[in-house]
Amino acid sequence: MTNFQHMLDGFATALEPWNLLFILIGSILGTIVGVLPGLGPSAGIALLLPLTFGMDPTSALIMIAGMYYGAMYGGSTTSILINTPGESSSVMTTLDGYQMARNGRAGAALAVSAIGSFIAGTFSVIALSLLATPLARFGLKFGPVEYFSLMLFSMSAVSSLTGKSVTKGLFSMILGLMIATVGIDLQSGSPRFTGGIPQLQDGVSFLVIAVGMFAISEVLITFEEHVRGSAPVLRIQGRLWLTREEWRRSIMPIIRGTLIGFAKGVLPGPGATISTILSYGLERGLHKEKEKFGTGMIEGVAGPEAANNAAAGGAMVPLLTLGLPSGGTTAVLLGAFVMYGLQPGPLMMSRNPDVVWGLIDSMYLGNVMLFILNLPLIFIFVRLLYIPTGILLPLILTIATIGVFSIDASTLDLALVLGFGIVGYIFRKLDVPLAPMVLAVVLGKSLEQSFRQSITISGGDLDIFLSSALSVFFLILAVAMFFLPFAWKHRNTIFGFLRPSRAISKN
Amino acid sequence: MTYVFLAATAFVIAGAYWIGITQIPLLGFGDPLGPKLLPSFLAAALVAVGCALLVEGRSIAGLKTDFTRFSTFVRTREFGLIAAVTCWTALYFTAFAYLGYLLSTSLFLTVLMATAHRGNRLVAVTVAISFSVGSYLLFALLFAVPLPRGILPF
Amino acid sequence: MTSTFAITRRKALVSSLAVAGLAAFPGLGSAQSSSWAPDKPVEVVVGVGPGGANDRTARDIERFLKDGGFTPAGSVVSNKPGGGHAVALAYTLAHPGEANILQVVGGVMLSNNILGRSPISFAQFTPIGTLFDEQMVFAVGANSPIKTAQDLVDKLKQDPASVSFSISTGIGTTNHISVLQLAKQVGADIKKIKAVSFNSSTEGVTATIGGHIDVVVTTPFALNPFVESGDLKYIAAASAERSGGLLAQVPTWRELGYDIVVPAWRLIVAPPDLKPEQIAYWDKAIAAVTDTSEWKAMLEKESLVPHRLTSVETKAYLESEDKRYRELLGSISQ
Repeated sequence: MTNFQHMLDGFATALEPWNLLFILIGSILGTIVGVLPGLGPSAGIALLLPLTFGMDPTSALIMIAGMYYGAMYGGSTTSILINTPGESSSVMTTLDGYQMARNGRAGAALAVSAIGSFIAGTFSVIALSLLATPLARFGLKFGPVEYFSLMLFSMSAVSSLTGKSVTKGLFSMILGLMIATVGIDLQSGSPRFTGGIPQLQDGVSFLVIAVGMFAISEVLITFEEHVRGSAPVLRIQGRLWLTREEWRRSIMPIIRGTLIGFAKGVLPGPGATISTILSYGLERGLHKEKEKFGTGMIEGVAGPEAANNAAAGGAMVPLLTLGLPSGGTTAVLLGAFVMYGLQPGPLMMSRNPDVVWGLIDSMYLGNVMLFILNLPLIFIFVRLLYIPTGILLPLILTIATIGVFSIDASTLDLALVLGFGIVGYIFRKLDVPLAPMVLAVVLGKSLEQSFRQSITISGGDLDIFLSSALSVFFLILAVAMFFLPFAWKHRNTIFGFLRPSRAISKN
Repeated sequence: MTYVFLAATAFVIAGAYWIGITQIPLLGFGDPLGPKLLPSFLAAALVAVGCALLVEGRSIAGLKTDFTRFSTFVRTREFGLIAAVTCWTALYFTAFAYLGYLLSTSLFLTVLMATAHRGNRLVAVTVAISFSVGSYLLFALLFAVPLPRGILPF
Repeated sequence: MTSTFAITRRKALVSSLAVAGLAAFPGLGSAQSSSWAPDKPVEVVVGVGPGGANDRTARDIERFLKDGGFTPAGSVVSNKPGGGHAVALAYTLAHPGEANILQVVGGVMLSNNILGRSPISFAQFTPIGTLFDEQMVFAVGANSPIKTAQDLVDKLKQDPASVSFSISTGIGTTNHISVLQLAKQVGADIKKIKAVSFNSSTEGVTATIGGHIDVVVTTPFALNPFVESGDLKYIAAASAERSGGLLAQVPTWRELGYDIVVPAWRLIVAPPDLKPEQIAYWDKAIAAVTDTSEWKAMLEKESLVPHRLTSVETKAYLESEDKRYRELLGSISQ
């Protein structure tokens, strides 16, 4: 039987009324947890996993699939409405999504994120069934060397987000990389910058940084505006749904985001996050009015949201064909597979096609169900913005506290959240961009480890990065990307020098 | 001012980070670069960025306007309020484990909402208490999130 | 990182299981002839997230104890990943006298202390029993120029830096110790050996399949699926004797004339200050479950080497292993 037939069979299982009910319950639970600031899919599933213990494995996995999408939609909702990403892969959504909400287009931002997710999800479930087997071999071409070059390329894409001052952006990025070095160093086993605190041996969790830098600092800033009497009124302007114009602007970014996301998801490593960075960078690069990004451009929401979802589908390829989780959510899913007695590896798909495809199809149905559920939900969510500021802000602080505390029950995390909140507040006051720091924390660890793995393999020889075509390809992209923002800023000077060739470069 | 402040922060962080680097223990095995390479590079890069920030913000006139802006801001009511909210939140986090979720959250929300809400005080207090109880029931009892119980028996 | 999310959730589960467990086994507590039996749910602690080899052992022992009726008040596996088992060890250490807590540990407990990463010493715990050894097997990619163990030895003798090894999750693991032993036996300079660490054994395995790493050293559990699918080939095992299954045709290093036996033992420790009758209860329970035919069948199926020691023997064994680890790892610390 081919994978495609298995996929159709999976739908037969998932569409049984009883299982549909489990998807529905899972979706609702997932949404509730997902709207907690900072809790995205992987934290959300981990939080809800115990509720499935004792259930029959198929139903349990189906419910987990529902929770996954519920938490994903919930996470996008917090990114857009209160500027707090639920997972590293929704950091990019906050950049323009929250600005759209401030411009009175919260409904449109939520809608385009739902539509983007839906299209990307549909594409990736079909692509997965047709391409999983051939693509599994492609992922193997990525060793530490290729991986480092890819990470460098992603970091260079981050550096293009620096905003007005390149130095401020670099400042933010270097601080993020420094935070990423806290914890036990994998290659040498040496503890670094832990100050002897055992909780820090695994480093600072992304969640703590995201909630602190985004949610807490946002609350402080809004408090300030509230006192001054200039708190933004996030009332909806125009229609709640997408306008025809917004729809026209979103469709191409969604398609491009889907393709980038699926392709990146297939490769090992934190695929979803990188794909959102690349998608945002691409939309920004292609757009005529680059400067407008970060002020509420719908393209900047549509692309990354589609990429994020497609990457989640693509990440199933290494998970199911090699047993290799490529980041947050797939690691939790792998844990769920193991808990229900499946052995991950190259033979999992051929030995347990019913369970595997039952899960993939339920995830897709979860996506469809949330898409339908979310249309009325958007209406309710945007109502949240009508809560008086003096009530809403304290509530956000408390909900963020529950979210952070639910992870490790650690009061040290609470202290760190507040600390990062103050840092975030100062950053905003001084116009230092937050996203480079937060993304550097996510990418920094893999960047360093893959570099040192490569250097260990080569015995200290840097030429190893030029030894593979894939690696060279990404290095060239990285160099180009890194100098683009600089070149763009000084385009007049540069074009002044190159006046004769100006006509060509404009092509 | 902004730039000078950021540059000074960069130098201080780089210095503290450097002290941290000297305390990383080393093993004489494998890995030719060791755990100190990237940190050392980062410390140097941060110093470089600090210098670049100084150069970027070198204009004296800009310094002066920034400084006046800052000193007036510190004296405004907003700044005092932000400081108060931050301290109140810090106090909440400190008392969180000891007093327990229900008690500390009710206190935290009641005081904060009663001060910050511009409408009816009674509404603010009602929302604060009912949200604390409701969220506790939902998360601690339904989802079994290990929220601290503290000194209350439930 | 994500696996950490699962930890504290389990703690909450213990309480709910307690209720369920008590209802399900009303008479079992008194059915045991021993003078002590767990009156609280048994918590099997493990210092890794769901999915690893240690986690599997914890789940196995929890299941066998439950099926054998040794956990009258219920049981649960509680994953506490972080700091190379340090978080889990600290947790167990913080509950002295609580005999309902058992922790599954491996050699990392010793090496972390020796390498100065953790102040917690094995001597602070109550040893309960040794379960089995997991083997360390050397494998290469299907298309690797290294075809046999002899090829590997020749290459290492010629140039110790010409072969890269995947040692899974880091310095001080049994995977790493196996490579150190090999280098020592063939007379290669230990400091020139290229040992690469990955976030998980699977990452190291896929890097080897892709040809980025020459030799992967890890457990048959992680390797078997890929050997079955033809992506990897076993070259030698670091065990005392040959085992069955896919490993039946694979020579041990000892057969080849190199004394490399690295048992990745799994044993159970409990919090400090247990009473003698509590230790006796667990001694009896572990002896009973490891004596069942199901247990033996499981060891056989997963290529695990039987290695049963009582609580007293385990104490002595830990001391001798600590000495051996100190000698090997001492040569690499500065």
